[in-house]
Amino acid sequence: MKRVAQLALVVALGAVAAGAGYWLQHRGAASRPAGAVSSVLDASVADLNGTPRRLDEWRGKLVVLNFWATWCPPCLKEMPAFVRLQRRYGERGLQFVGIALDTREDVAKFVQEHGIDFPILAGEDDVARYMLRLGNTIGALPFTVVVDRDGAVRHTHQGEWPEAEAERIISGLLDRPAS
Amino acid sequence: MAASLARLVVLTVALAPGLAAAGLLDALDGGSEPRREFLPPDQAFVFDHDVGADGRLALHWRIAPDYYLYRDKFKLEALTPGSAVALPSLPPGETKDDPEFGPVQIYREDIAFVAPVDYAAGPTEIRVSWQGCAEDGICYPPIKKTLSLVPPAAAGLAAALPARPAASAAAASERSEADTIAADLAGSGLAGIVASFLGFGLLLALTPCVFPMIPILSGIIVGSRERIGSLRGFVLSAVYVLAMAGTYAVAGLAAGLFGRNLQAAFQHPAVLIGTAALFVVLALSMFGFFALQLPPAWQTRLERSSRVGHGGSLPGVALMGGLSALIVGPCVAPPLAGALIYLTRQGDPVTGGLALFALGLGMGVPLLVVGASAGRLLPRAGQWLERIKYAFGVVSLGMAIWFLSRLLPPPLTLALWAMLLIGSAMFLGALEPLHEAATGWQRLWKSFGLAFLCYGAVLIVGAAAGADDVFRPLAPLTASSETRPVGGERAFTPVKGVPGFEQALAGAEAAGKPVLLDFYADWCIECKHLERNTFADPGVRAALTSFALLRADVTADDAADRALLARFELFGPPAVLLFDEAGRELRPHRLIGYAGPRDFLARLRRAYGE
Repeated sequence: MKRVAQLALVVALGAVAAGAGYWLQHRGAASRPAGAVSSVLDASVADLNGTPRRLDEWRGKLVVLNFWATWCPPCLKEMPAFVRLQRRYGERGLQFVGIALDTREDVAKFVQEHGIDFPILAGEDDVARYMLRLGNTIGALPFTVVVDRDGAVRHTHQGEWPEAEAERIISGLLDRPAS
Repeated sequence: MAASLARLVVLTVALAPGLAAAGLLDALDGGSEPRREFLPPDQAFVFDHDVGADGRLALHWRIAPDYYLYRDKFKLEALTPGSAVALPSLPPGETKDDPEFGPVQIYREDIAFVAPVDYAAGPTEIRVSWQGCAEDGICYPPIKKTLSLVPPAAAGLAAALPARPAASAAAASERSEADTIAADLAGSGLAGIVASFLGFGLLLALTPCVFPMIPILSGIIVGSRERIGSLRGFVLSAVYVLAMAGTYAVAGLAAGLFGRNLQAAFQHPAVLIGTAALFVVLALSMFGFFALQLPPAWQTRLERSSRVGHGGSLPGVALMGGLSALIVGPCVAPPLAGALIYLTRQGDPVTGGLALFALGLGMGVPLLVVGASAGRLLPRAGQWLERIKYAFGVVSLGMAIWFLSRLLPPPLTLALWAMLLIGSAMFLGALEPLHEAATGWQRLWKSFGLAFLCYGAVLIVGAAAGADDVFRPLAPLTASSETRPVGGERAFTPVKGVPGFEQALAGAEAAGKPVLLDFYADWCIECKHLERNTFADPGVRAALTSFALLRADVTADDAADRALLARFELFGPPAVLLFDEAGRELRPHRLIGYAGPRDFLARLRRAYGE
């Protein structure tokens, strides 16, 4: 009987250990507890004046990171929709942040010409690396990531993001209070 | 009790790989991949080039359906001072009406052009860049490649050496196991990192890798002179585990500081010999030649200062713990390599140290359980206690031989194994007559003893015949056309450093051959297993007939070797990398560590989709 108990103990311990390891590996993908996730916005990219800006600065809002470039037609095509969404939902806590994989000069010119009124940052290799970290393994643009108020990634989209779908997802997440 | 212990160990060993595999494989698969609807840039636009007899550079892109390249985004630039390259006037493309840019010229399917090159300065480096998009809404950042061109007169056969740029961000879309671990970890902060490593450690604890440690730890506990209780057992195993974790922490610290080939450092001859000597000492103690303890004067002083108790000496236990971390090092190579890649990228020694310390603690959990249950799980007194001690002694001697086998000529290693087996056989009473009333156990032990004796004798024969494989000691005597076809053994072509490799790769590419690159070192026991078991397997050999087989011998661990390892973000051998006919690495299919013939063939099939 004692032996059976020992066996049961070892098996149970093994199962618990495996489960714990599995959970530790998977929590990153599914639900990120607060401790580990500050890291999604734990990055800094220069703004158009060349000053490094920490993305943490927008923590607490529903942050939409939009990776784009002036040489990327689909990026430019979806930009007006993002400007509209920012104006419509900004007061409810939505914050678009544009991150350009491009030179500052080209970006500044475009931003001025098109009247984009959410923050725009720009960089080259650092932006490419950050994008990779967020799961954009092919490095293509546009690429959009929705980060909730707790700093967890809730949605990513590669390619042009249809306005209706973007609005549905954003408003859905805005209705949810921060945990 | 002994039987129950054995059953318990067998059960745990049998269960562990399954459980661990479930977790590990899943972790390796990377649950958080984004949607893979779009091609990586290198597949969307397949680029190749050639140098004509007149020295002109021919460039060609094959464009996947529904992808296109911009006509005005091609750029050519000579990087070598004095040389020059000119972009020719390009053929007209298809006009695409872009709402943002107005009409732009694009190419679909195929585009090729020829550029004149001025080789004023001899070999010339040229950077080509291009840019394109997918029809359904994404664009790729400009893609740049640097080509090393040799003027045709100097090159003889006009072979251009394509220099592949070091892993670009785009290349990371294809990831191997180790990379996935590094990527998985890349998203977490310090607390997350430490927690993740603890989890990894727990997973590793369930692989058979850790099981060599259990007899060592048990040996220490059993070897102590008195009966010990749970508390004492727990303290001993805690010290052992902490020392082990501490050793990993040093490795993590070093990875953070230097990012060097740690495995090579661990396998320095002095370290190997020293470790082997320690195992011999431990074995002698197990055989009862002496009790392993500090000189009495030190001991009393230590005891007075620590008052932890008696039994196994804590510093001794700590020492064994530290060494044990090195024992399992090669076994846990792939996850450890992933962890170390990540830590060297972090470049932060504190994070590195803490993370690997957590890994060690995780791996130590089962050992703590064994230690804490010392009073129950481990045997306490009687004849069989001595037997178990002897068994541990034999295992220790085996460890010593295993360490030395990296240094000694193989036949000598074989002879040592033979001595160990024959010696064990004698102690099992292989040649002593049994009483008529002998129990079943006694008969069983004698059978084992006889089996050991026979195999030991075979090993001696093999050693005398110059055999080099413990598991096939008679290979030199039985070598027939089947196992060793005369002259049929395909040798690996040695390559040295990045340039040597690039040259060999370009050669294979010109011949349209896929490439296998094997990282090898004399001290790398897994590499030798790969060579003997896997590459020597007739099935594997048949599958590799069309391959260019390259081998980078990194025994010297010099600058060129390290550069080549760094080129592929490797920490050391064993590693087997596969490349397709176009010279691109099939990164998800790279092998770090050992794989048997069957696994290896399966890997080849997956890699080349046959």
